Amino acid sequence: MKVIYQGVVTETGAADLAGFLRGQGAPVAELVIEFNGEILAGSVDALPELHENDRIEVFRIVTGG
Amino acid sequence: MSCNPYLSAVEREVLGRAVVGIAGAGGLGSNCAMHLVRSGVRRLVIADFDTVVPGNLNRQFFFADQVGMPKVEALRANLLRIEPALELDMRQVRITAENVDELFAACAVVAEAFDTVEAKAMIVGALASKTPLVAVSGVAGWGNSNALEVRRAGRNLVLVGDGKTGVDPANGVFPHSPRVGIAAAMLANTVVSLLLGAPL
Repeated sequence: MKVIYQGVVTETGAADLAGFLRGQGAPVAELVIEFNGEILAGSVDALPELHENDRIEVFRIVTGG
Repeated sequence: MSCNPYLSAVEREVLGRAVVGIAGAGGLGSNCAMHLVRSGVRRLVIADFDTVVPGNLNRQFFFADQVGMPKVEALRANLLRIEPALELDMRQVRITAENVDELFAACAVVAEAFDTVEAKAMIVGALASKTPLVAVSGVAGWGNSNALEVRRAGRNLVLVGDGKTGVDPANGVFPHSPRVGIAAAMLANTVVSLLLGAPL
């Protein structure tokens, strides 16, 4: 299956978004996740299943202010 | 009467009427509030549980004689010195997933100005699907001014910062006035742009 991750077409065998992001080495708890144009809220366990051509953008949150 | 004589009638009306929320009154929140008031925003909801300590004075919009005061009360006093005709709803409270909706229910836009990853993630998760939210990530250290940027994420969220430079005491990376101040100004500029329908 192909998804678009950070603007790049990416092949994945992951069934869901959590598995995909772990496979990318992304620190899920420190990310704002935009999935098909919507910001996802809630726990990692509630992240959705993946489908062909899903668009995934992640933005890292770091401490400081 | 306004402290900003350079507004059009429409800008004065829009900025004067809108209620803006600021989650946190530290380096980002206190300076963002200052910029918003100088810009013409008149109605603010600002929440923070903390008090002013000496270590805040390197970057936050407080003064030495305000050490020990609740931040929201010190900030109220400082903002009213800029513009006496403000409607300020200052809440000395820790913002949580349970109270964040109620705190900012009246707000047209909310500025996230926390300092911890957990709090930032909490408010993004709670508000980004329903309220225009401007959040900040990556403002610590010195230099790299051009790395600080504004970008949209989804319909309601705008992110400010470099997205990577967090506070890291073990490696000598701390929050300092110039970079935090740039980000606070970008935060305020983004809030005003959203209110006025101007390009980000």
